[in-house]
Amino acid sequence: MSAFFLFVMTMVFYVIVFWIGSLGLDLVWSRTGIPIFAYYLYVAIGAYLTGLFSLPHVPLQNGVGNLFGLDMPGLLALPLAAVATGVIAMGIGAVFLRRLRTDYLAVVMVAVALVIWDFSQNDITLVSGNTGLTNIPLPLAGVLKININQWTYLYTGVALVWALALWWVMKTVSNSPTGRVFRAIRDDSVVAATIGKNVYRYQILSMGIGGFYAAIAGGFLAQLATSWNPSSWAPFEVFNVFTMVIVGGVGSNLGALVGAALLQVLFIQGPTYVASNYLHSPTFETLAAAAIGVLMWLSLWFRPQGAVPEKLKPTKWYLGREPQLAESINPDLTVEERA
Amino acid sequence: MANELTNPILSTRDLKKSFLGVTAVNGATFDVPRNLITALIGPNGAGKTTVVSLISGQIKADSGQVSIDGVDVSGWPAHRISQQGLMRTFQLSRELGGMTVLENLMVSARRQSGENLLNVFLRPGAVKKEEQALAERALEILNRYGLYHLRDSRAQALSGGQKKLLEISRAVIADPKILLLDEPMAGVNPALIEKIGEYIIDLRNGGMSILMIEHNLGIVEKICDNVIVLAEGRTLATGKMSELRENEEVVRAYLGEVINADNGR
Amino acid sequence: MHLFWIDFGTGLATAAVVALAATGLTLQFGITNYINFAYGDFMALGALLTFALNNQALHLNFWVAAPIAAILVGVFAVIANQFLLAPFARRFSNPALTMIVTFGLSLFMANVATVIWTGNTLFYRMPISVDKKVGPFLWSPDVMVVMVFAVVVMILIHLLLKMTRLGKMMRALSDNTSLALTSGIDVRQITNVTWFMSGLLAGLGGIALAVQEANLTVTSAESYLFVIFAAVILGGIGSVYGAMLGALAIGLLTETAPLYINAGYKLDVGFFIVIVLLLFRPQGLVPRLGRS
Repeated sequence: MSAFFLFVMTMVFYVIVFWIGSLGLDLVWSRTGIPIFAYYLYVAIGAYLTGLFSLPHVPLQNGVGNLFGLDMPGLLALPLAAVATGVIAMGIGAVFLRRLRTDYLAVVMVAVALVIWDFSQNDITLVSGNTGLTNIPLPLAGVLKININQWTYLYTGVALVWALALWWVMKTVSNSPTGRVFRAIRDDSVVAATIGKNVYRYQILSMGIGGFYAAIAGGFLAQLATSWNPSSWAPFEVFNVFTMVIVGGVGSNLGALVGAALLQVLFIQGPTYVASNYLHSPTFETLAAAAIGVLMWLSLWFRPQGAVPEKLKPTKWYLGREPQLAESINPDLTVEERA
Repeated sequence: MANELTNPILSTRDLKKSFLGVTAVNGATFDVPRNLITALIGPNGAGKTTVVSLISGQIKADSGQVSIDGVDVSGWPAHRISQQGLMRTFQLSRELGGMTVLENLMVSARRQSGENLLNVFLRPGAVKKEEQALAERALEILNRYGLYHLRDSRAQALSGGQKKLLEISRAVIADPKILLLDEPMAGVNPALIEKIGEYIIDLRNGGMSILMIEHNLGIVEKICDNVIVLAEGRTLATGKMSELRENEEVVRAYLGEVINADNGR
Repeated sequence: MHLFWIDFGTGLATAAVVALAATGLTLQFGITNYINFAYGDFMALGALLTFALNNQALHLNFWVAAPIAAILVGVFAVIANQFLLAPFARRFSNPALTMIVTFGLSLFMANVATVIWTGNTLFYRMPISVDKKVGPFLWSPDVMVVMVFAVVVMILIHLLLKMTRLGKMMRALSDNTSLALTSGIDVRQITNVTWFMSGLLAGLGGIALAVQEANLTVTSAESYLFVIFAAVILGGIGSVYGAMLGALAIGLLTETAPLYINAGYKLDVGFFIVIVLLLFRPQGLVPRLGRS
């Protein structure tokens, strides 16, 4: 019973973390229109930086060690790592957004993620290559003297607080005139420039915010696992997050939660639990991963707007009341138009 | 005319552009006078739309100058040229399809403090007030152009004529010094052509300067104060329509072709 | 110097593998104009089906199993395009969305392959081929067969594109889709033929890779995907002859790179070329020889 409860709590933790992750991808991809295929790279950078910020410095010895360690409290390391990742994401955006068309940008983004993934495997001086970071401290566990199970319950709560705050921030950003500019760029970046918006700058801003969200998700994953290494992630895992966004609802904050929950419970954590506790074979888990591809195709084909579609804001939302002008209809628009 | 031309709102000098070795614009030089409606005409392939895109910065010119209200904007990116007071519409309407009609206008307005995230979080009250005022203004403009009842529709759901009007109202809300219209009446019904003509004249009477590409010479004669003729990427002549009808070169290059085509039907 | 020539020889062998796969990818891109992230899995499928025919069912001789497997991949590619990729590409104008769909296909194929063939290293049932000294190079007889085969295939593709009506129609469609549409070419048929050839070449490339590495896993071809992209982009996307030259350059670069840098980064040479070329010279380095 207690093992099952722990599993449920862990799953809830994953749902919350990937809600945060999906919110960031949703902003960059669904609301700004950037094919951010390097998104999982930001998740990984956030995880590594959270580890490095909260671990002590271990000088390199026998291939294990880290270039630096700041020995910060975990609760503080997480947001600082996210800010740093946001800055890195903006730098990547500044280089690649300037000159590439959409499909080439997508390819380059994957290539960048692959290069850095390979680097994290081969370079032992920075984050110990394939060994990666180990013993990343559980924030608060030492102070409160609690065991790992209690910590999981507590930290799920911490993650929830973070998620609600970030959900509010995302809601505020996307409802603001800034969010409107993002959507204008998504719909037609040429028009956005024509009406005086600095498209490049807003795209970089969007990348930065997305990088922050990705890194918070990554930091939580590293803290839950107490470790992070090249086998903890792969650039292609970005596809799962894309599926969460597409299935949940493109451009919808609540949709991101629905998508994250659906995938984590039915296609990722759930099957893993069933496979290891009842079936004792990884086949079921692998089939579930294959099914994510099918889920995405079906969702995109039959319900491209997703489970919770993006809501349009009516005039009332902007005015705070019903508009009072009398309905006027241009009679010439009702005449049948020439093709 | 002479007075108006001493201080043009927009002028181009020797604009040149070629694509993959094919010359599209080859030395376009003209002045667009203030507070008038100027037509940009010329046979197909004369480079009219390319000139508009060069002026508004969507395409970078190979050489030449553009200045708006005395400010040299040559080589500036499109958004800075727009901020300098130039708005344009597109021949094939480019609405922001995923947004509502009202939002299409609101996003186009100038100097909105909420387009800076710091203000969104630090001065939410001020941003909200500004948004309300902006929405009121956008509704007035929509009402003027008969789009008010469509305010909450997704822009991509509009008909061709409605999209033309949306493009004009999206430009108007930014209160430009100079408005470039790329065939604002192409593909709309005759009644709406009349109406759009009236709208454009109203804008001029309100003090706006307008440069419009137009194929229909009847319309040009009726509403445009001044005409620029473009042929083979160069400025062929400028003047009033009535004067240009007397200009042999213009008739040969363009008007003759239209007249012949009309006779042929 | 001796070591350099051995690596150079391995580079030529890798170039043969990359050339097979890259011509297939560039043919497909020329006609359908979107990037297929599942292409590495098409390669893997060729190698794995060969394994199935060679070791699991029928127990065919490797040299018999390989062409059958490659043809099956060609058929699979036609089906995948006809029923999955093409409908999405027609419906959604955003190329990134079609790319996500091919991403999904990659994930689907890789996971199903893992279920069928496990994650273990697999070996073909064929005599062990010992490396022989050929001039300054060191090649096994199997690898030499692969290289000769690749050259023959390249010549056949050249003859197909230049000499046959089909090849001319393929080039016309690749150069200008709308023009081809109006000139009475059966676009659907040419598209299917192109996808078949693309799948066939992917399968052959995957099999050649397994022969060259003397083993295979379900994921080994996937890591070569971007190396193949690099060859395609280097040669100019959509250009068949460019892809052949690109493959030669990429094969030699990746295999000789370990002499100068950490061998773990050898494939990154390819990734790096993708990034730099798309940033600064997306039209490729080779002028479009294949275009009329």
